[in-house]
Order: sequence, then C-alpha cells, then structure tokens
Amino acid sequence: MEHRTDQLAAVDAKMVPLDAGNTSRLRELVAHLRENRTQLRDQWARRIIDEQLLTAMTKAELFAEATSVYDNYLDALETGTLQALHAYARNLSERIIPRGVETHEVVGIVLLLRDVLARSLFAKYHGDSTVLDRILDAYEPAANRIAITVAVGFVQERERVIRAQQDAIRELSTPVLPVRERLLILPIIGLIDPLRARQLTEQLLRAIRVNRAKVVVIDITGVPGMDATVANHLVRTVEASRLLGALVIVTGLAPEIAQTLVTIGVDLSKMNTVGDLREGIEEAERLLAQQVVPMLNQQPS
Amino acid sequence: MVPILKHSQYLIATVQAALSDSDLLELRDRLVAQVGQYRARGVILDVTALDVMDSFAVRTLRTLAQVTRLRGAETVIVGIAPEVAMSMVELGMTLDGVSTALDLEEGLAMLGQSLPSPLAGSRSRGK
Amino acid sequence: MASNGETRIAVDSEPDLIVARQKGRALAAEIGFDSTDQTLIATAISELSRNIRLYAKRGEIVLCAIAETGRRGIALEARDEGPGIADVTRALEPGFSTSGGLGLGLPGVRRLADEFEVVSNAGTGTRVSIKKWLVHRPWLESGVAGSALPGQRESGDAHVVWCQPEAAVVAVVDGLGHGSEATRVAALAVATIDAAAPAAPATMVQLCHDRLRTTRGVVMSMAAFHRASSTMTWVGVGNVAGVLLRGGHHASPSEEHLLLRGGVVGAVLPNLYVATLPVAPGDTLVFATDGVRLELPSDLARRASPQQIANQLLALGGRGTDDALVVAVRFWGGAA
Repeated sequence: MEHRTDQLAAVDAKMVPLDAGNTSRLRELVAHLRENRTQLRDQWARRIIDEQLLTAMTKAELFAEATSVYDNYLDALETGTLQALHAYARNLSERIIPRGVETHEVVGIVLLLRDVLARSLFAKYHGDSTVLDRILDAYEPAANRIAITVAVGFVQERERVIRAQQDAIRELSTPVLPVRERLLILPIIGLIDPLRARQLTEQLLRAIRVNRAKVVVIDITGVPGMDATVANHLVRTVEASRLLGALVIVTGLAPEIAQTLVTIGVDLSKMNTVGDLREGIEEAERLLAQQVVPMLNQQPS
Repeated sequence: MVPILKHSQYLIATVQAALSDSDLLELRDRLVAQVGQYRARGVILDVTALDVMDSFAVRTLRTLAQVTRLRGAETVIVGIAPEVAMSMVELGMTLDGVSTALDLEEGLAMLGQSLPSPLAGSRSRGK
Repeated sequence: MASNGETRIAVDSEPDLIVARQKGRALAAEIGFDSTDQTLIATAISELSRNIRLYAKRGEIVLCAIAETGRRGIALEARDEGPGIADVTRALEPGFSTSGGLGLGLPGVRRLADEFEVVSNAGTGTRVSIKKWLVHRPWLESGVAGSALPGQRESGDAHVVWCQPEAAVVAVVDGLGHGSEATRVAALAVATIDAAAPAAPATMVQLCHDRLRTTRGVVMSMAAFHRASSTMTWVGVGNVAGVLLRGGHHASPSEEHLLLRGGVVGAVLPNLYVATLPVAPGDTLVFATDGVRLELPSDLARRASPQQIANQLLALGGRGTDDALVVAVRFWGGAA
C-alpha cells in the first residue's frame, strides 16, 4: 500500500504547477474535447483496432470501455486530480487482466488516446501558434501524468493478481497439509511415475523439517493402479521420513492390493497401513497424544 | 577434533562437514569412552553437516549405537538432510536399529522419554 | 585435468576421498542433476574411493560429463592396481555390505547406476565404471498418432504441441477438404498458433481466423496449459473432439468433454466458448479429428503412456475414410 502511494506522489511531484492561466486553458481544451467526444472516441477506437490492441475484447466491449476511459480521461484533465482515475484504472485492470490483456496494450491505448486528442487540439488551434503553444503547455504534462497513472494502476493490479495467484499456487503445489501441530497429511491423487514420486518425497521431507512433524498420514486412495513400482516408492518415502524422525501412516491401500503386493515380494513390513484417511488421522492423533512416537522409532536391530 | 558437550546426562556432538574416516572413528571411540566415564544416559550425534552417508558412515553409526547401548546409553542421530535421507533409502541403507530424530530438540525429547535404565548390560529393549 | 573433459582425482590419502566426492557433486550439479542425484553420485564416489584406499592404497577416480543424442549424464571410473576383488559375485550381493563384512558398498553403487561394470583380477587391479543419465520428463508429455486418407500422400490434419517451462499450447487442426490445399491451410494455422503462443486461446483462434480468411478454413480445438496454476483452458471450433481423462482414482467425473461450437476458422467464427479447468498430475487430454471415432474403451489403460494411448485410440477408432489424427498429452505439473 505504501509503495503505491509513493509512486503516485512521485508523479504528482513532477507536475507542472497549475497557474491561473493553465487552469483556464485546460478548461477550454477539455470543453472542446467534450464537444467532439463521439467523433474522437470513435477515431480512437478505430486506431486501437488497427493497431491490433485489445484483441481479447469484442468490438462492442471495446467501444463500451473506450467511452468510460475517454470520460475518465477528460475528468482527470479537467480536475487535475488523479485519485479517481487511479481507482478507475485499477478497476478496469481487474476486469481485463483475466481476459489476457497485456501491459503493452494498456499503455498503447492510453498513448493512442493522448495522440488522438493532441491532433484534435492541433487542428483547432493551429491558426495561432502562440495560443497553440499555451494550450499544449497545459495539455502535455497533464496527459503524460494520466498515461503514467493508468500504466502504474494496471501494473499494480497485475502484480496483485500475480501475487494472489502465486499464493494460491504455492498452496496447490505443496500438497502437504499441516493439519495440527506435528501432524502432516499428504493426499496423493493421480498417476505416480518415478519423477513425481521423487518430487513428492522431497516436498514431504521438506515439510517434515519445516513443520517439525512427528506423524505423517499419506493417503493413496486417489492413486490408480498400485503396483510394485509405486509401492516401492512409497516404502522408500516411509523409510526416508523415519530418518527425519517422522512416522508415516498409509491410508487408502485396499487389503487385497496389499496382499497382492506382499505376494509379489514388496516388503510392506515397514509401513503402518490403516483403513481410510479419517481412521488414519485418528490413529495419528492417538499416537501424538500418547507421545509414543519417539519410542516407536527406536528399533533394535 | 569434534568437541563433545555434556548436557545433564547426555553427550552431544555435532559433526562438521568433510569429516574424514579416521576422524569419524575417533569420534565414535571418544563418545563410547565418555559414556562410560560420565555414566551418560544418552548420546546425540548431529550430522546436519554430513553431505554424504555411505556404507562406512552407516556401519560406524550402527556400532556406535550398539556399543553405547551396551553401556546403558541410547544414541540418537539427528539432522539427516532430506537429500541425504533420500539417497540413503535409494541405496538401501536405512540405519535400522538406530534411533533418528529431526534435530537436537527432538533428539533430547526422545531421550527424555526413554525409560530410566538400571545398570548397563541388563537393559532390555523389546525383541 | 585431461584435455578431453575428464577430471582425474588421485586417491592416495584420506583427504582425497572428500575431494573426490565434492568434485563429483560439483560436476553432477553442472550437468543438471538434482540434489538427491548429486548426493547419490557423491556417495558412489565415496564408496569407490574408499575401496581404493583400503585395498589398493592408491588409485584414481576419473569423472566425465557425457552426452549422446537426446541425453546428458555422468561417467565415473574408479581404477587401481591393487590386489583385486577375490570374489566379485559375492561383493555384488546386496546383503554383503550391510552385514558388516568387507562392505565394499558395491551393491548400492550398482543400484544407482544406469550402466555398471566391474573388472577385477588379482595382479592387474580393479576398475569399476558407472554411467548415470539425467532423466528428463517434460511436464507435458505427448504422443501423436495419425494417418492420411488412403490414396493421399499428405494429411490435411495437423497439430502443434508448444511447450515452455511455464506454459504450453496443444492444438489439433483439420483442414477442410483433402489434398495439398487442406494440408497447406492446416499448416498455416499451426504456424500461426506456434508464433502466437502462449497468447490466450481465444486470441490465437481469432488470429488464425484472420490469417485464414482467404482460404477454405479449418476446424480446430486447442488447449493452453499453465503449469504453476495447474489449469487448462480449452476451446473448440468445429468437430475436433476433446476429452480430458482424469488420472485420479475415483475422480468424479472421470472425464470432461470439450464443448464445441459449430463453425469454421477462416470462414464463420462463432462466439467462442472458452472454459478453464483445474488439472492434476496424470490427467490426460486427448484431441481427435473426425477421421477417428473417439471411443474410450472401459479398460483403457490410463497409466499407459500418451503415445500408447494415441496409438490405441487410432487403431480402435480410425475410420479409414478420412485423414485421422489423435494427440494425447499428459500433464505432470510440478515445480519448474
């Protein structure tokens, strides 16, 4: 939050102070731009389409947004304050970012609008070069501040969206759930190949370390086709967790599959298997409450 | 020489990186000697800095645990790094018969919960 | 350092064991092995160099980065001129090293290696050579199976699988009609998508539509995958079927079907219906052109590779009366 206000304050500070002359000229040129609103807005929209910007939007949407942006732009020019424009820019960004609109497009359309309006001012005031200069003196700094404000607003919103996504991702991509103190749950869903098995084990061991977990419940209900390979990965995960002082309970392994695995030679003796996830958590909590876990890890040879 | 700290009834040693074979053996022997000397109940060996745990290290730690147990002390290995743990199990080295815990704090907690033992030699431990 | 990229470490004294395994770890890291593999390699070097010290007193470890088409790896050799291993077979038995006997650690070393060889003779010494290859499994694994209309040299069906570390785009395109024109138009669509990726699917379809205006047009279905958020966004114009097979056991629903809008990209573009779904590791997307009757047998081995799935579906459903193309991709996701 502080960062944002600082950025805007920096922009404000660069502003050419509004003297009486500038203020009245701004009002004059804004009046002209308002008068020609429809024509200028359409001209601008057409240029946006020609430059292939905002392709993620339909023509109807584009015209609707163009109208809002145009009106907000003129308000900002007229009042000299950017607060409302900044808020509008954030709001607009929030709407268009999920549609895949990129930063360069937003900056591009604002600059196009600045150009379209500037040309219109040229056309009106070109007769008298002194007046034109004064008009541009009033217009240019204000227009530049507006461009910066909109761009900054868009980038900030984008950063906020990315941060929120990254937080969500971090939660999604760390399948290990710290449930209560010293207890982790790792529900595994979907296919396991050797690379994924290693990634999951690495994530689990890191989580054991960070959360100082004593018991882990690994639920494999969602893993299709348990076979010797997957079972061996699981056994190794159990053994590696033990080396970090954590006991693993495996849930969701159907008894008949366990039987088949043992028959083909998979050593399941190191694995505590309990029925389903709920029962697994209950067993884990029982063990933690009794503080029996450390004792269980002491295995005499 | 790796320093051995005495903390109440426990001995604590922290392995530094790049420990040579003879240094490891020497540490083991010193720990065993001090268990006898101070009648220690437990030994915690922190191997956080060990980058590799190979068959020699595993053998040495196993004999350390066995001999200290005969003298009435339980040994706990702490601080095995995740990638070391993963490579150990892939190579089939699991430190069976040796207690392991996450870190020094957990190691002490584990030792604190051990049943007090009568004189060395008559300790019974399940099967 | 030898000139052909080898690193030789003399093993004469105790400190050399540490040097050897640290250099091995560093080389493994350079080649691109992950930290667990680096540790495995360092462990192997530790075992082998200790054997040299204990039994031959001196020898050397030779490390080398290796490469052949499509893969990279590490080769390491432990050589000495010592007394040799009396009984190599016994030394390789798994129980041997853990029993506290001679403990050469060789069974473990063999386990981690992709290629392993030990040559040892009394009098000539011992040489243990191992190679370990970097396993690379892309986060989006794909398979393609297709055939042209009998009698035609080229197929008017085309596809693109565009994959980068964070995003991927998969598209299957069916050029209207047959023959070289259909092939050309389909290729044009594919090139457009390839150049525009990873833009939003709707944008890419629109770009194809603009590019193909003067042509017969194509029908296409497309999916964009975003690795970090584990999502897939798909859209289809025409009749290229799309199905997402959930990899999870008890997943409900176990399949999702792409909602298609009628139309032709390049001629009549309908309002695009773009949908985003979460995807889990192991989920498999299948696109099939109308030359394949897409039938998913109840015993479709979901754990089969995407290539096997594509082959199986083409074999089962290829009509033989048209160009046919099946593309299967499996999402693995995971940290980049």
